[in-house]
Amino acid sequence: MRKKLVASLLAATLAIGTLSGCGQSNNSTSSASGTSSTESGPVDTSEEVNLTMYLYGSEGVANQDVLDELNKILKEDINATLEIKYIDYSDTSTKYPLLWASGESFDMAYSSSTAAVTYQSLARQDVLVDITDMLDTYAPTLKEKLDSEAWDSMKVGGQIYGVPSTYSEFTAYGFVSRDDLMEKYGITSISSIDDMEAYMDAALEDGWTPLNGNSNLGMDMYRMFIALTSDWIDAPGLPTTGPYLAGSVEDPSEIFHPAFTDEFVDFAKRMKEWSDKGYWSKDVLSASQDDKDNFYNGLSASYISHQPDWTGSYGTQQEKLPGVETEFYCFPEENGKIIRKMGCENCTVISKNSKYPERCLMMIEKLMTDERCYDLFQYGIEGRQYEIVDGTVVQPEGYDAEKDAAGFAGWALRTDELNLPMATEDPRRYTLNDEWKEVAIDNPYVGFSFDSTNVSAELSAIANVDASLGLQILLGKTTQDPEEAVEQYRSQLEAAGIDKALEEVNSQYQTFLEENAANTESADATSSSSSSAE
Amino acid sequence: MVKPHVHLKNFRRELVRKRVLFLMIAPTILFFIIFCYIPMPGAYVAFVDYNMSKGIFGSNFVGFKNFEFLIRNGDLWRITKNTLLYNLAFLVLGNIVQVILAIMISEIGNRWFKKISQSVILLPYFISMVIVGYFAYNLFSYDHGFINSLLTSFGLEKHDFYSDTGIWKYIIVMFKIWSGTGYGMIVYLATITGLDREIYEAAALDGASPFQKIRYLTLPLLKPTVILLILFGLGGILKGSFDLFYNLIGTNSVLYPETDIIDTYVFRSLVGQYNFSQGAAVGFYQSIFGLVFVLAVNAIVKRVEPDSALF
Repeated sequence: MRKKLVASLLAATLAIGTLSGCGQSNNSTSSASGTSSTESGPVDTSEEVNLTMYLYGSEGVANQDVLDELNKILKEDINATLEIKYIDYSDTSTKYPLLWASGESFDMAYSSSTAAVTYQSLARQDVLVDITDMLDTYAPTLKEKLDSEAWDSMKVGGQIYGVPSTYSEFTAYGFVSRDDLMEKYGITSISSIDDMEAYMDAALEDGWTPLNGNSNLGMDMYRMFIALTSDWIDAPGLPTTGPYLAGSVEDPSEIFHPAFTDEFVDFAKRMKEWSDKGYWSKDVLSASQDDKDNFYNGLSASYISHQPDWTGSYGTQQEKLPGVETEFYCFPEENGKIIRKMGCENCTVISKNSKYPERCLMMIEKLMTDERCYDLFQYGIEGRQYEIVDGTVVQPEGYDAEKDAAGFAGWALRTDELNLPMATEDPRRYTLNDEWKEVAIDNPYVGFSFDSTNVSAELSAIANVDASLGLQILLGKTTQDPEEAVEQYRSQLEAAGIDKALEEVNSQYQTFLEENAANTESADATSSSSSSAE
Repeated sequence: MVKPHVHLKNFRRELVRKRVLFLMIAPTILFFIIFCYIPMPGAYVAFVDYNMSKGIFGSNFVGFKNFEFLIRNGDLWRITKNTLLYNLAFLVLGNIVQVILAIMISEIGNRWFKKISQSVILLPYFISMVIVGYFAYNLFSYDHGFINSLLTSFGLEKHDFYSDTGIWKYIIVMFKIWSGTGYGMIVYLATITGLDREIYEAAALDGASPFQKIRYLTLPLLKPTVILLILFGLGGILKGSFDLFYNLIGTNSVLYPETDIIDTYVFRSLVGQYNFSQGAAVGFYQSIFGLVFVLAVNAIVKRVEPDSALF
C-alpha cells in the first residue's frame, strides 16, 4: 500500500512538473505581450524601458558590472537600460536563425550580411523595423556621423533596416610568415606567389609543415586564387562557405563562376603540386586544428588569414611565440583590389517584435556616438578592464581575469571616430589601414542583396558539389588528374544548376543597377554624392 | 464486434480501477502529445516557401519543390542506400553483440567482476562523438597516428587511412558497436534477469550443460525482446547517426562515396543557407520511409511469428 502511495505521488509530481513547466512559459509570453505601449509623439522618454540586445559570444564574469555602469548613464540620458543576451559562438549557425524564426520578443540584435541568416534576408522577410524615416527624429547625430556610403550599404529595396558599423576594416587575405625563418632561409621579403613557394619549400626542407591546416585551408586557397587573379573580386550569389562567384572590377555587372575559366585549371594544377609536395599534411581534410592555431603553437611555418585577424592575434603571438615577428603578404594589394568593408557586414538591427523601436534607435545612437558609453561598451570600466597609455588600450596592472574579465562582441557598434588602438593589436593594423584607405576601392555590390528563393534547390545542390569535389580540387586531393577533375567538377556544377543560379544573380543585379540609376537621377537634384553602383 | 459505448464504459472502469498505473504513464503520454503530436502539423513547412513573418501556415505553398535538391544531383538513391545499409549493419551486428555479451555477463558468477565489466562496456556510451572523432584521428592520422607509428616501428609501409574509401565502413560500424553495445546490453540483461529461474533449475536437474541452457532456454526466451527492439530500430532506419558520421568523416570528401548518409548530405547542402523548409522536407522523407518500413516489417513478422508483432 505504502509503495503504491509513493508511486502515485511520484507520478503526480512528474505530471505537475510537466504541466507547470508549460504554464510558466505561457505566462511569461502572455504577460510580455499584454503590456503593449501606446507611445506616440516625437521623443517621449517619460516611461522607463529595459531593452534587450542579442550579441554573439558568452558572458564575461564582470559583464554585469560594466552594464550597470553603462546603464547609469543610459538611464539618466534616455531613461532606458540595456540588457544583453548572448548567443555562444558555437551556436551562431543554429540559435541565431531560431531567434528570428521563433518570434521571440526582444529589441535589438547583431546582424550581418554574412550571418547564418543574412541581414538582407531578415529585411526581406519583414522581421526588422524599417528605420529609414525614424533616423531624423530619433537619431539625428547618428545619421550625420555615419557616412552615406555606410547607410547606402544597408539599403534593401531602398529602405534601411539597421545601423551599420563604420569601423574601417579591410578583410584582405594574406600569407603570414615568420621573420626568423625568413632570415634563416635568406628570404628578404615575400611579395608574390613565387616567394611564397620559395619560403614554403625552404620550410619543408627544414622539417616544417608549411601550411599545417585543416579543410578550411581549401577556402583560404580559393580566396588567394581570386585575389591574385587579374581584377577579379568576390561577387554575391553563392554562399562563401564554398567556391563563390566572382566579378571583375572593370565590369562588375557580369558575374561568373571562376571554375569555368582557364585560370582555374592552372590553379587546380598548382594546388595538386602543393599538395603532392607536402605543403599541408596528407590527411588535411580530416585534421581538426587549423593553420593559424598550429602557427602560434609552433607547428606550422605559415598561415593564411585576413589582416584584422593577423593584427588582432598580436597578443597571442607575443605570448606563445615570444621574440618571433611576423610578416604579412597581402594578396589583393598588388592588383589594387583592397575593398572597403560594407557597413552591412556588421550592423545592429531592431526586431519587429520590439515595443520600443524608437528607444532602441536612441540607445544605438548613444552606444555609437557618446564617448563615455562607447568606451564602456567596447573596453569596459576604466582602471578595471582597461587603461589608456599613449593612446593605446592596455590591461591595467591589477587585472585579474578570474574577477575582471568583461567584454561584449560589440563590433557592430564600433566607429572609426571613437575607436582606440589596443595593445593586443599589431600596430601595423593602423598603418596598413591608413595606407589602404587611400587606395581602397568601393565594392560595386554594395547595397545589392541577392534573393535566392527561386534557386534554393540549385544552391543546395551546388553546395554539395562544392563540399565534395570542389574542396578536393582546392586542396589538390583529387584522385584523378587535376584537369580531369576540373572537367568533372564543371559538369557536376552544371547538373546542379549553376547556369540557372548565374542567370538569376545576373538578372537581379541588372535590375538593381537600373533601379539605382533611376534613384540617383532623381536624387541628383539634392546633389547626393553617393553612387555606389557606378 | 464490440459496440463503441461498451468500449468506452470498459475504459472508464479501467481508468478508475487502475488509476495509479494510468497516473504513472501520464507524464510519458503528455510528453508525446506535447513534443510529438502537437508539433506534427508543422511538418507542413516542408511544402511551403517559409517566411518568418508569415509563419508556417501563412507561407506560400510550393508543393514538392523543397524536395527537388535531393534528386537534382541524382544522389538520393546513393545516400538512401548508404543510410539503409549502415543502419541495417548497426542493427543486426549491434543486437548480436549485445545478446552475446548480455548472456556472457549473466553467466559470470563473480559479482564484483560482473559489475566492473558491465560498467566498462557501458562507458563508451557516455563518450561524446566529438571525442570519438579525435580518438579516430589520433589512431588513423597519417603523420602521427597510433597505427601508422606502429606500422613504421615494425618497418612496414604507412597506410593513408583518410584516403582509403573502402576501410571506413568497417571503422564506422566498429565505433558504432563499441559505443552502443553497453546500453543495448542492459535491456537484454534485464530480460535475462527477469526470466523464470525455475525453468533453469528444471533444466539443470535434467542434466543440461550451460551451453545447452543458453541454446535451448535463454535464446528462445530472448527472441520476443530481440524482435521488439529490432522493430523499434527499424522506425529510424533512415535516420543516420549524424554525430558519428560527422565527427569521423567530417569534411573529408574523399570518403563520401561510401560514407555519405542522408543526414550528412543534407547538412552539407543546407549549412551555408538558411532554409528550414528544405531541412523539414528531408525529415519528412525520412519519417515516411521509416513508417512504411516498420509497417512492412511488422506485417511480415505477424505472418511468421504473430506473438512478437508490435501491433
